[in-house]
Amino acid sequence: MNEIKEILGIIEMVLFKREISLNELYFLWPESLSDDEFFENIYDDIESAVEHLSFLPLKELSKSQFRNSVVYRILVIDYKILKSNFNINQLKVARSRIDFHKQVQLSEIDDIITNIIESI
Amino acid sequence: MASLDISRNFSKFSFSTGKEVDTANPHGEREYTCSDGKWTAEGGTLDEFTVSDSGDSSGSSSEGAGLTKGGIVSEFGSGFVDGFGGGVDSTVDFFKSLTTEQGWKDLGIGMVDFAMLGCQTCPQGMLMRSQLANNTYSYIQNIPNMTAYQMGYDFGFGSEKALEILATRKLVGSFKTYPRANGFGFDFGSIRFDVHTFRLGGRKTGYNVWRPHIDIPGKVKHWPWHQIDKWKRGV
Repeated sequence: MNEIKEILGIIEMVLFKREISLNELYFLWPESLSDDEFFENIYDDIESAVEHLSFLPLKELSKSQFRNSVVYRILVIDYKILKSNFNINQLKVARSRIDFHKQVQLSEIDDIITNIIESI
Repeated sequence: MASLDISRNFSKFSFSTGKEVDTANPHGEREYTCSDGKWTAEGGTLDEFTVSDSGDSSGSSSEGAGLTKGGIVSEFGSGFVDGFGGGVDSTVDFFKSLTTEQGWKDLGIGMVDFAMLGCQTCPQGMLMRSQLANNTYSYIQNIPNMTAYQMGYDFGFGSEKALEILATRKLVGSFKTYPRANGFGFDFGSIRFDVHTFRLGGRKTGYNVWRPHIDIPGKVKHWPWHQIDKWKRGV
């Protein structure tokens, strides 16, 4: 699915380059996925991360602050799920089983996703 | 026997002499004159009253040499209560202002000013610190001229604000700015109270709005505007 590659590219821009604007996101998002709730949820996560790339007044955008944020963790989970070799139905099941609000370390995310994959 | 606190509103009267030295207007309505220990009000004679000795009639208190310790405490207490109430009122007014767009803009400006105040290298920060130092110096210089009520009021107001600061320290710590979305908000991790630009009406065909809203990451975004927009569009 080419759209998934496009989405992965967008997420990489947010996570690693942090240089995408909201207007670019609106433009780049593959509109063919608009009716799919699964992808809409991922879009919401990406949009939220772009909107809330924040910094304290008069301070440089802190990479560590961003990496410790909830939006960053959610986006990493979305990214790793999309990067797995699941078919679309498995992707949906995997994402639905994630507790996005559970306080997990970034290093634990791989194990969580692996466990979910094995249980499907 | 009428009891009258006459010590509060005149400063020239000497209790020790008991002779006419000045007129007083203790109630703010009628003039009273002291003559050989007897007070006469304009238009008639005042009923008998008691006067308590203030002790040190040459004290430097601005309230008047005749103010008793009990009177000072009473005035201070009264001012403290009023000042504390004034602090609460100012907070209520602040929250009322948050129902308007201007109120949120003012909040943002205030937070940026607060940050500027701590900036060691910014000209604006230096100017603000200089003004603050001047104001503080003027205030301290004026303390001897303040009444007990004024001191009580300021102390009450300051105490209320200090309590607020303690209570809202977490709120200030959660303040974030969102330059890419032209806004700011309070990020508590699992919930955010934000004001920034976002798009309604669809990604490619929609329009940008700048509104206060609530986000719950991964669950709810731009509440309630996003939900209302989707409901209107039937999506």
